[in-house]
Amino acid sequence: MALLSVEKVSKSFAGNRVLADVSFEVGRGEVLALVGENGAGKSTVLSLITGLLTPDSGRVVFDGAPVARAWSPHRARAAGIGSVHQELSLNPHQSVAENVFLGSWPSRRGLVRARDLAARAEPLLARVGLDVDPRTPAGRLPLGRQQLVELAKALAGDPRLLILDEATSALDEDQVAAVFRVVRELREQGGAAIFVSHRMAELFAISDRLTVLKDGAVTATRAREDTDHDDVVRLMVGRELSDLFPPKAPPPSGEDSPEPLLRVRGLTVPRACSGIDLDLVPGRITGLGGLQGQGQREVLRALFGLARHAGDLALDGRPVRLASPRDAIRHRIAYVPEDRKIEGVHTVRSVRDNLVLPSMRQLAPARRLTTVSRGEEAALVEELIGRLRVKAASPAQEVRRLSGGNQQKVALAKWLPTGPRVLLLAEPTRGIDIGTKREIYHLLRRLADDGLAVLVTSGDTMELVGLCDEVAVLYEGTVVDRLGGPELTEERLVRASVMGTTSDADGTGSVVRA
Amino acid sequence: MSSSLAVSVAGLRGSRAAWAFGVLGVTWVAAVLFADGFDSLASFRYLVQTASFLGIVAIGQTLVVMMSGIDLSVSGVVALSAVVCAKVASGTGGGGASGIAVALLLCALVGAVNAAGVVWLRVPPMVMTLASGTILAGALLVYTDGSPSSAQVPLLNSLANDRVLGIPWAFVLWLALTAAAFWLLHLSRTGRYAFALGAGEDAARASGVPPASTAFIAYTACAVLAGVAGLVLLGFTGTSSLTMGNPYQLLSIASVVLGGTSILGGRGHLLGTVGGALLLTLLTALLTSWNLSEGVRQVVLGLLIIGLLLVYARERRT
Amino acid sequence: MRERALAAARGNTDLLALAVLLLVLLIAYQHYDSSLLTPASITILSAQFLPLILAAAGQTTVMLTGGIDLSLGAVLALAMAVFATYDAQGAGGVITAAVLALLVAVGAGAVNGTLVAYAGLPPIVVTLAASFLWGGVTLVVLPQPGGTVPGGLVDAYNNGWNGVALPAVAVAVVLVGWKLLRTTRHGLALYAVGGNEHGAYASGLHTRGVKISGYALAGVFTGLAGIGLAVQTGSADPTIGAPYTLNSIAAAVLGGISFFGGVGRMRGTVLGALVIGLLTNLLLFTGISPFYQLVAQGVILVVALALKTYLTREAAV
Repeated sequence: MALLSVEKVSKSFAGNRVLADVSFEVGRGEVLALVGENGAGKSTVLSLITGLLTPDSGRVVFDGAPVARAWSPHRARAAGIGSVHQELSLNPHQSVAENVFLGSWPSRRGLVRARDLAARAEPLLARVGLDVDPRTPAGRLPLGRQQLVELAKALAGDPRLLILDEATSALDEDQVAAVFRVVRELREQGGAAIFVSHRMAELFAISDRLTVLKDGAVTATRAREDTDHDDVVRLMVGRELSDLFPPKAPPPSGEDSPEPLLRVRGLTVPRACSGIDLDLVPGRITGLGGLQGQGQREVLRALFGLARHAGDLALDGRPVRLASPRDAIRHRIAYVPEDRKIEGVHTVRSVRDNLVLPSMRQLAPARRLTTVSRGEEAALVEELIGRLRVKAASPAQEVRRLSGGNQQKVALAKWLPTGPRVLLLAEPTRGIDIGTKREIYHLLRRLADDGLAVLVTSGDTMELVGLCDEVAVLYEGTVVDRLGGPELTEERLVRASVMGTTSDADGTGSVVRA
Repeated sequence: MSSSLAVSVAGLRGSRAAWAFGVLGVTWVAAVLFADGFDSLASFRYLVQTASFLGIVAIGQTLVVMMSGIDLSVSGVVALSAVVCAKVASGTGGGGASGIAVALLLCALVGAVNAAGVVWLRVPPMVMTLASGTILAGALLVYTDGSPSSAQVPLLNSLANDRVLGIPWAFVLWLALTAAAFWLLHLSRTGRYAFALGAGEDAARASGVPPASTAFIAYTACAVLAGVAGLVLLGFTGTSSLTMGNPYQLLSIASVVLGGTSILGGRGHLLGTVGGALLLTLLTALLTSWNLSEGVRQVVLGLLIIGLLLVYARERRT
Repeated sequence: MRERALAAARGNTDLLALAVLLLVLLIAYQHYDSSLLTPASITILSAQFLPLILAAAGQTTVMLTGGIDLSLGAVLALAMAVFATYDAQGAGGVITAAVLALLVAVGAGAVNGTLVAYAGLPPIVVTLAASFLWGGVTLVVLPQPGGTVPGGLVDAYNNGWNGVALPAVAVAVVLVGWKLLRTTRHGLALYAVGGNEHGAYASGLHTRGVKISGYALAGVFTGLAGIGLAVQTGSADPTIGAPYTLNSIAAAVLGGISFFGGVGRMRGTVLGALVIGLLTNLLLFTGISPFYQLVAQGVILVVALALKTYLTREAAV
């Protein structure tokens, strides 16, 4: 008998059906991958299992017993279901140890002793390959390590079923390996896991079976041996997905290299990166690679005036100072951030309000006493929605009702009317389904062809290799390698990222930093 | 301009602000039918006149709340403008124009200081305005030595008590100020910036919204409006007191929230606040007409506010 | 060892700064009143400061859950009115009155908490409306200033009981009690909900229950503050509460409690309340018009907060 079976569950939000008669099973000693585009219903079905939501119809059976109507995260955890979600559930102000046991702190005579807590947390942290002081406040750890603390927290409940929902999205390869080790241990002990990831390679590396969701319904369940990447993608999107990446720009012709639009020399952000040199050239997409948290994010934030920095920046050969986003915008630099719900879009505002915000100066000029022109506004919004194919019920729809991919389109589209010359994007497709990924890749290439200089950071090696004309690899805040043309391969990118070395032709490499 | 006006007012439909007017209408009809003394034109006139004092403060409060701020110094500012105007006017005599000018200038200064504290010193709005309100209360004590003067300022007297075409001037003034604030919040660039800052400051900054100038405009406008309310009150009662602004502190915020504006900022409509202020004034008048004791009146008002908020002002932020 | 000490000092910068400020105030105070450190003086001062300290402790509890209580002053006055109105005869009567007052305050807190937890209304709005409600109830209980507290109790509280400063003992008990509470599951849950509410819920905490209990616990502190104020003044005043709402927020914020919840220590709040209390007295001593009190209090609040924000920002970048 299966450890968990989901039987014909349906769920609607405000009349909008997001799950329709979904059924699947997870056996003991099995790892099931749940695959699907954004909005296919993966997170919803997982929330039904973990007790965050209750189904409208159908039922969830765990360990032979149907879960109660009053299923809650508390009961799910007590029953032996542990989960790690993409959205962190840590309290940044409490210590790692307090977080690991959050909600079920072990106490003696009513009191929770910090030393006791730390001692009990140590083995769990070791299991997930984390070497941190359990008394450190969780908020001080980098994102990837916080995600591992989440995993340790899930393990603290001694789960028989482990749910990993995009739990590896912020992890580097070593950390992913630690997660896989935990999952395999659990499998050997007769437990089970449900694994969700947008990285196809991870899915195939860890799962025994794959269940594919599309538009709230199961399209197929396949054993790993019986399928491959192309097959799964076809099941997810319902069609063959060719040309994920657009063709690249031709390499610079002749001897003279093209004049950079934005020249960065010796860019230093305290405690993040130092001495970064970059040349952003019109028509080219430059990538910033490396393991997660090597300073990529801060480079982009500095170039948009969001992080204090030192170094020489020149735009069109003239030195510029970028002390605030307004400086950057005035120089026609645009930024699509990594945490788009915080810096990218206003989720509680309408698509219209989001799209026109950066263009307020044009839409509400001083000669109209800064009164916003509704006509021009509507025309602009309509044009942008059409141009990027944003799927929204109407321009008045709140952005939080859109799928992640469409939110990202809004975060990008709002800059287009400002006539940007430099486009900075952090993790442009994180957590976005493959269909929209493709649209965004092609859009970025078209923008580059129109003469923009594009700078992209990404933790997805395939994305950098497929999309970029050149990639600078960061390691502990400095550029350790630059790859372009035929040198730009996944293998060399990974090696430079992990080793912190320049990948010489003979492959030996020289250690830049220990 | 007229078409854009229509569009923004149409935005009221189906929104929480419309609820305020719905509840107001029902309550008013019920008051006329079932309560004594609400069916005459005179009572109607008196209601809109007294609602104007609260309403003027509340539209200023709306501007600040919309950008995720809050102004707890309005009670002090109301008293400030009345006290200063009375003192200057009784000193100089004349029509009181100089008193009015000095009072409003000081109010604008208080608003600017509030904004400076919030923007540059990064003190949370609640603490900053709380502190400036406390400082104002102390400063007024020192200035008046504890006993503020009364004064007859002819201009303010007629503004507060006279009528034009049967409509109280105070109400006309309220409507005019509402129109100006409506333009600022719903039709101008600054209003868009205020909404954006209220919906999320980080995303607003990253979109090029100028937080400083927006905050200065909102807080200064709020303080000046509270000052205007203080002047009208001075004209209405003929005296100034140090505590005359106190009722407007919490009631102005209650008007904003009952008008359907999110206290967290970024969502709402200015006209809702007008409905909220009228509703609160009507409810208070109703409770007074029933000869309830002060305590019972407050209990009922508190329960009514909570009940109304439960019906239509719940936050569903995900 | 030295590193640990340094790290501890860094983590407590605001507490240290506050303690230094308090020390400066104490030295200045000593200058005007050389009897400051005598038992009699300590008794009187602690009697005077107790209500604000306890009110600030209540505000802190609510703020730690990520909320704010604008009805605190009204609840304080309510507890005070109930305590003084109950016709207390003898020790048994006093205890009954105190229990009644506490029950009312805890009930009021629980209602506030329930509305916040279940109604989906922001705390600031709920407690704003509740301030009308509880203010009204207070006026129903006690329309005019009045009520009585047994004279022996008033005397023992204000002048010491066998040489023991009862209010100081009360504050010490509260601090020790809080320290214990902090290390229980319940205390940790309070901080967890304030730090990341959704995360706490997803981790299996009953967040609504935690919030309600937080507001109810604040009711305990506020009720004690009201009782203390009644005993200090010997009667009750239904309108005395208002300044306590604002001052309790000021004390908590000075003490380093975050508006966003989950951050701060109770000892910081107590220090903050002491600073506000001492400052008020000091201005009286210096002979400056007491009218300047409010001005000084406002300025200190802004300066302290601005400094703190400035310093922590420097450290964070």
